[in-house]
Amino acid sequence: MKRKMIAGILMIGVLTLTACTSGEGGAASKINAASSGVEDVLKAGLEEEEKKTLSTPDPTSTPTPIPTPETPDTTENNDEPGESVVIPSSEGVDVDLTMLSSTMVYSEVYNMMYTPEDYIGKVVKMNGQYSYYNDEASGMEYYACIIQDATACCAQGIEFVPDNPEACPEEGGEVTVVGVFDTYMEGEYMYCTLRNATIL
Amino acid sequence: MMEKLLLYLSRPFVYYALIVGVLIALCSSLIGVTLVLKRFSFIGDGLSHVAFGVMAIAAVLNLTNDMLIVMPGTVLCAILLLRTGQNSRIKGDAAIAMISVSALAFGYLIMNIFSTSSNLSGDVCSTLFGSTSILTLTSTEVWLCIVLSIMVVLIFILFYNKIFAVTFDEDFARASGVKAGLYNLIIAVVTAVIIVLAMNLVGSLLISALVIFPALSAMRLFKSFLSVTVFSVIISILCAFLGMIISILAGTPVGSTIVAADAAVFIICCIAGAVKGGLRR
Repeated sequence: MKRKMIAGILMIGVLTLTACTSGEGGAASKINAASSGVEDVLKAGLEEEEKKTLSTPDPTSTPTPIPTPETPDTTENNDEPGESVVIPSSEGVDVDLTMLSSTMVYSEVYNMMYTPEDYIGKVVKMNGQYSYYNDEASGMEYYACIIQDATACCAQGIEFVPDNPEACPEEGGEVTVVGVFDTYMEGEYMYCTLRNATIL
Repeated sequence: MMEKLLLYLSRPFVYYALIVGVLIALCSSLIGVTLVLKRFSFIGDGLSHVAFGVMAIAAVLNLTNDMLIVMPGTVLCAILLLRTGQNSRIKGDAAIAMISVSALAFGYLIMNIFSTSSNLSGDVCSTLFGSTSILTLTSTEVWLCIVLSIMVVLIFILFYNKIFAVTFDEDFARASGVKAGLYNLIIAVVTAVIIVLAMNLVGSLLISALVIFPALSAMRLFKSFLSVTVFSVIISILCAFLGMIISILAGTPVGSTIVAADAAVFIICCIAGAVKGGLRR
């Protein structure tokens, strides 16, 4: 009888606990979080662009921040997977993603998106696939560096505002960027960006 | 190499992954021996496919907490398969295969038709192969995994004798007064919980390896239930730990690296078992 009671309590505990994960806790929600990155924004933008009639881009437009991967409101989030982060490297770079293995670099970028407050003000160096989008309607230009995981099916990206946009490679080419990590609010979402980014 | 490893280990998400990986390996190997002996080796695969199907529904519905439907759905299927499998018109292996492929197919179909993400291949890849899910855990998930693992180990220790009896001869256990139905239910629920947790580590296609390989490797070398269970736990933890370290250092996919380590240890155990058998003769 005692054992049955213990079994019952344990089983209820197991089921209750599993259903009590936080909003970001589930694998599916994690998958969505992982895949909703710069690529999503760029794809959405390109789809919109296709629908619109062609118009002449504003020649006076300057590089402007773009919505980067959506990150949860950090003031409400207590589930941070990491604390303050410094990945040592040379050349005054605080977080050198080029030093990490493909598995690690994807996870690190995921954490940068998830806990941006740990990285604000840090000099980040990253290497990945260059992506560019010009929103002809608003005249905004979007630059991003996309990083894929080891299986190359999941991608995370960070937007950057280049100091030297003329040094950008062709769309889809490899790019190495160094810039200062920062966040900004646009509407109800917080976005991440690398400010004063230099393309190496 | 060591410098690189120490650098990686300084990252919180890496040691979170190691803690959770080791705990999942511990739990899956505990239940693995029972499942292999009950001829339910493939149930891990079947249930993980069910979890994939339910997860697809949760993703399409944009549920913030998908566990609310993934866990009950998987537990329900586990109970259906483990409790009614023996007496139903569709026998164990056929029932598992049927539920497994149906859930996988419907899950992918739903994700295709009602996709809410532009990266469908990424979503499917993450769910099927784990991708880097284990390296993106939050502290809440880590604590949840720790508590659940303690509960699973407690259940196994408390009901060790009954689980042993139900595993080897269910009819005899029933005849000697053991409530086989209740213990089968416990095994089903624990299996489902482990499968859902393990999806973070290796993905739904590779979960079977975590359940089967350690038990089979241990069976090459040991004969008693206790020694097989203890050795399978040791093997499983070692392989999960080594697999994760190799994957982090070499940049290989986490799930497949762990499974490759499990397979390598199985081959080593087979050779060691053959040598041991030869020496006895």
